[in-house]
Amino acid sequence: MSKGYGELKDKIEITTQQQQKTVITIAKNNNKVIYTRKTGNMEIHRIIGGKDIKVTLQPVFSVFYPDISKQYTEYILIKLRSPIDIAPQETLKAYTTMPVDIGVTVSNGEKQYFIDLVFCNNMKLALYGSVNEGIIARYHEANITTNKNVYEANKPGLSIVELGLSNRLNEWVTISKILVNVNAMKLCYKPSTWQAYTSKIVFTAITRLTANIAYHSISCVNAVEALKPHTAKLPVIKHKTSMPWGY
Amino acid sequence: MTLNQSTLNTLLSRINLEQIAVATIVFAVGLLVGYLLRILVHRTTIRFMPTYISSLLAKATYYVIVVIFAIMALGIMGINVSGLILAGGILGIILGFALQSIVSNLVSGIFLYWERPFKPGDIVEIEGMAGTVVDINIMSTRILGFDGIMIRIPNEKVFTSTIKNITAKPVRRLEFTLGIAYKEDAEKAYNVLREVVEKHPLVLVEPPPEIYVEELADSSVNIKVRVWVPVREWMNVRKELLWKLKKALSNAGIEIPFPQRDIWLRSPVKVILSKDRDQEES
Repeated sequence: MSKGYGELKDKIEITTQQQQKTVITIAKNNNKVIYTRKTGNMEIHRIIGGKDIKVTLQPVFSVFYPDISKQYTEYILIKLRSPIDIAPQETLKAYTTMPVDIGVTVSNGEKQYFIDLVFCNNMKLALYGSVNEGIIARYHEANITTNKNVYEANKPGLSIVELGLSNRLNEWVTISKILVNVNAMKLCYKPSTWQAYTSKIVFTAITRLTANIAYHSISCVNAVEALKPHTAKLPVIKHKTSMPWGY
Repeated sequence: MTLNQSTLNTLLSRINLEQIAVATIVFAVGLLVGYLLRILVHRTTIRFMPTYISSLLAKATYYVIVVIFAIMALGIMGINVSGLILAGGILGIILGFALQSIVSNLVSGIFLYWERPFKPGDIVEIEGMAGTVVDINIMSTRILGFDGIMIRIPNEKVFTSTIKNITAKPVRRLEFTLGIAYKEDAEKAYNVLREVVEKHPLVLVEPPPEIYVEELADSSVNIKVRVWVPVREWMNVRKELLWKLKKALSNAGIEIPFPQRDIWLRSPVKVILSKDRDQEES
């Protein structure tokens, strides 16, 4: 039986954050693979045609609903359970989480193709901003810590984010929400584990009304870069976004 | 009709070749200026206008310039154009009356473009007709109704009507009123409803859902449920959520009552059962 992200050999059992159990099995024949997923009472089957088919599980930002073909939003709103205070002209390194689901891809060589999505989190959306000009984001409540090891728990559904929090103002700031664009971020996973991590985010409070979010590049050391579903790819990758304060 | 030699000589003597040449040059310049202005107008306006309006403006510019230069050329040739202008003015008035509605629609189309109350793909309600905007052209706006029927509304009517653009903003609020019997535990009902609302993936966390007792009505305690949803999903959520709320109340054993009325009679009522009536009759 396989365990964690990476190539699926024959069977895997996934227990999500909500303690829901999903069992995925694959049966390989000469020129086809029969894929079966059972979640609760729901069972789905897919026949995948082709030789030397490889089925892989990889983390996908939890912004797709009801399936992998529909990306609901490109933003995730991280609501910190405990707000964090930064002194004037100070910086802080911290860690938090972002929600991920498990994408199932098939490939017969180079080209990979998403065939299924296993939800590991309850999808919830929120409006960030006013009704007039706000944006819809995936809502995620998370803890924030300065100790990375807190998040080494080997359970699917979360990815670890390194945060650089910087206050360029001459007054204290309290950060309780961070709005990030997932299309500008990368995900890496460690094969045979449920550990996933994203590119570093640097949050800089630049004025009393605006903060910049910069997305650093990532090198997946001892890890594999996760494939992005085609709908999540942008022709131009943004390395920086802005978010207004006060919501 | 035959033309005698003297008349022909008179006509030929009136024609001045120099004037004709100048008039031809003026007209040619007019064509060139019209052509250049047409390109200029088209290239300038295409950046911020729909193609059809830009093309129409370019053509109109071209013809106006050509007509002006043609009148100048005729004047140079010594032809009195005041009669022509008068005739043109009268024709213009006649055409103005005849094409009043067309011009009105056209102008409304241009103003609609500038005001941009909606764009193709938006879900709108105009004059009580609701549907998805398929096309906004120079004369009319076409809406695909939810029942699959294509509706063409003249732009003049669109411009002067109240327009509800349902999808102009990213989110929309939904409201439901659910009545529970007076004997039921309102707090239990509140918790049941809140759980359904919180579990629904497309009900937004922010702005937060509101659940409250709205009215102590004649037959029921009316609970109002207000939630915000992504505007593109409002119809799906509406259908699904109302069903789930009703089902959750039923599953929790909470009665949704019919309208009922207690009637008090001043004098006692004598009820005769059929068996008693038979005995009385015998």
